Amino acid sequence: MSTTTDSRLFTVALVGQPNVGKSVVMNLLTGAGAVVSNYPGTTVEITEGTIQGATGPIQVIDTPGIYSLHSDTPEQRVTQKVLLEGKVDLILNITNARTLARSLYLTLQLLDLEIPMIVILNQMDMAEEAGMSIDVQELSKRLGVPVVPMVASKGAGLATLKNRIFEVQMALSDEAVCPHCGRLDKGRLSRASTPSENDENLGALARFLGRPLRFSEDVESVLEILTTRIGEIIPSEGGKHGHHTARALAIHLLEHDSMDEELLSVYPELGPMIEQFQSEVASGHPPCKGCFRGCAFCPMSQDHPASLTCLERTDAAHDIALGVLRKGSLKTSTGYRQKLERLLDAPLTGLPLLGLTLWITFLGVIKFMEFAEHWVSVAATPLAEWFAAKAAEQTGLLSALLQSIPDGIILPFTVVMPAMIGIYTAMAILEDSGLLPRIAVMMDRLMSFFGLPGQSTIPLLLGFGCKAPAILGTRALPGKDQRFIISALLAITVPCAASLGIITGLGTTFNARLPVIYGSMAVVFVILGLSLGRTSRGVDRHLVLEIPPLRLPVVSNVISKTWMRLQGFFGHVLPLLVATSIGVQVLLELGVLSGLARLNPISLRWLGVGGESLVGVAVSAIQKYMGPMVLMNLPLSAREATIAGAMVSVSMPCLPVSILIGKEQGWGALAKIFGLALMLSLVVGVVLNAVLPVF
Amino acid sequence: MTLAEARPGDNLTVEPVAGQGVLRRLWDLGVLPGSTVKVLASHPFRGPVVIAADGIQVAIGRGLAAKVPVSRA
Repeated sequence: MSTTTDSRLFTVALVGQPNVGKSVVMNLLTGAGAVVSNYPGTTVEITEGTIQGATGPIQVIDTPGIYSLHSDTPEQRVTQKVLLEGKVDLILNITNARTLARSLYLTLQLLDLEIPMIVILNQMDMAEEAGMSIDVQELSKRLGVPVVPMVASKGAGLATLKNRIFEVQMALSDEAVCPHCGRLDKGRLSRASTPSENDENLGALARFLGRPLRFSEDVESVLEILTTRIGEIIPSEGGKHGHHTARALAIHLLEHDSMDEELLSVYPELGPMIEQFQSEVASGHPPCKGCFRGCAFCPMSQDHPASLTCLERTDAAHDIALGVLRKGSLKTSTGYRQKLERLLDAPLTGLPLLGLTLWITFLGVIKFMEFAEHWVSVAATPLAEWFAAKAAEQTGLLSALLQSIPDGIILPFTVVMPAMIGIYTAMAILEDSGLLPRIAVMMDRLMSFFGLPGQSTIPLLLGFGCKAPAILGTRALPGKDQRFIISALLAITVPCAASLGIITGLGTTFNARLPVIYGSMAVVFVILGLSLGRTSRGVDRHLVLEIPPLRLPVVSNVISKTWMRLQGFFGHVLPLLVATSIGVQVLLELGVLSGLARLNPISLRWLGVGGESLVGVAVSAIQKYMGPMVLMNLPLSAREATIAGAMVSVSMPCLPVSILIGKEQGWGALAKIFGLALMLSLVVGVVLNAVLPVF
Repeated sequence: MTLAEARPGDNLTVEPVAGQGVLRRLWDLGVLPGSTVKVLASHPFRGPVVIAADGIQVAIGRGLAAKVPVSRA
């Protein structure tokens, strides 16, 4: 065995349609904390983990959910890239037993890639509940690859799955890996699938290679022409061209009206080949006899409704599903879940019920925050008093420091932590139950005024937890315009749990008028949304969303998710808040901030707040929750705290979110958002100063 | 007729339509030419249409639904 093969990990990729439970299987296999939710599009980037295999460590990759290999979405490109890079030794294709026919569409596409594969039949319990039973043996026979039935949420089927993975790893351990490049030698694998092959390991692998779908004669004849041409122009190695078989590439061509940049960068030779093909057709000499007008990239197919391969694959998937479905004892009595679904999905009953759910959630979070604040304050009082007594004994800088410590430490626990726990728990319940996509449907009409599809409600609501994952979540939206609008709304107007907590603190400490602060955020949200909504163009402003079945949230999942997201509290929220508190006290004591008093004539006149308060606005560009924390340390009147609080709430995104927006949407988009934020923050200050009476 | 005009309870067949790029996102969810869908709900005030296609529920904005030609099955 060469050293190159040693250094290369056996790699397994989880591939499947959205919301079939890839992340649950990922967590089961690796124990990694992949976020699991009950709505499509939770995983927008690749998660990796390592497990101990039979002959060495195994790398496991969780990919974003895709409905098919030919849809043009950001998720699809991420997953396509993983498969294109040729690092994947084994595909774990996760399918949903309840919607088998649809799941099998992707399965059939994956079989074309001729990468060893195991099909996981997940959510068997849901299928049984719907009165379906599936002949697993028969399914495995028809696909030609092992099928492992699982109830991943309960851990059922894990042992079998692991054994299957180990089998492939052992079979691949030496011989089949190309000694030159360390890559899996697929040519030897395909040869091994003939019975004459003696090598036992390769024979074992053949069981995982499956049987790619044969299309109708028409399609196959075109595929043959294309595969021959591809074979001529792309050098092959062991039956594969790069990481694709010629057949997989030919099918890909038939299904795409434009070529992916990713694919063209791997196979630059394809560009000229397609052009030549198209010009032959255009000049009246179609290279394929008896053209069926079913190739998406062919100019003759302009009026064709769908690529014939797609339709035939859909039919084949249905045939297989029909062939393995044993409709056993179909339960005629519907459970409470179905009844509830019917109630929620009918607009007449669903809209009020979902509205009520949101209202109860909101009230619940507020009540929890008030309750926790009271009791944590009671518990922390002796500590605060001790520090206050010590501070009184000292003078100067030391006194300032001692004074700032209780504020810096206690406040995060009294207001910030309860807000984070409350909001994260509520969010986890909404996510896991399948209520979130239903809320998205309910909001669709309202969101359309902002030029946004209903599913953009999901990142908006997630933003009340933390905005960084919410910005990542905007990837599930297909349109660029829409992603910008939602990012701007999130960045400027939506308060994260931590800053929301401290803003409520302004109410307790300075008697600031919280309704005014919240109202400012809401008004700016609506105005900004309405004006940006006018820039929204194209078909992507319309809702297209799969609605998953309702599910009772699993308590352990809700707790672990809340706990995982709460790590940020100890990781950066608490230390940064303490630092802000101390920093402001020290700057005050040293007289640095008093320099800002020179701004007072202008800021008091126009904004009604002292120059020092503007530090809060500036600081929120580092961390949003540091902005109100600065204010907490200043001597403010109720009116000043209200105006400054509103200005800080409607302001620039924090540094982590800024970086994410820059990376996701370009630095130009970030500059626009910053400009808008500063402008809106000042406008809020000026307007409030003009309309708020003195109190 | 188009999907936007459908009423709850309708069983519909999706008709072929030119301009495949626009509707490709719907194919992925099982709303393909020739497939049968059942209308589950039609939200008021030109809100979304909810259909059952291929064993799953899909919500489609009214603007997009107006681009999907259908006939009664």
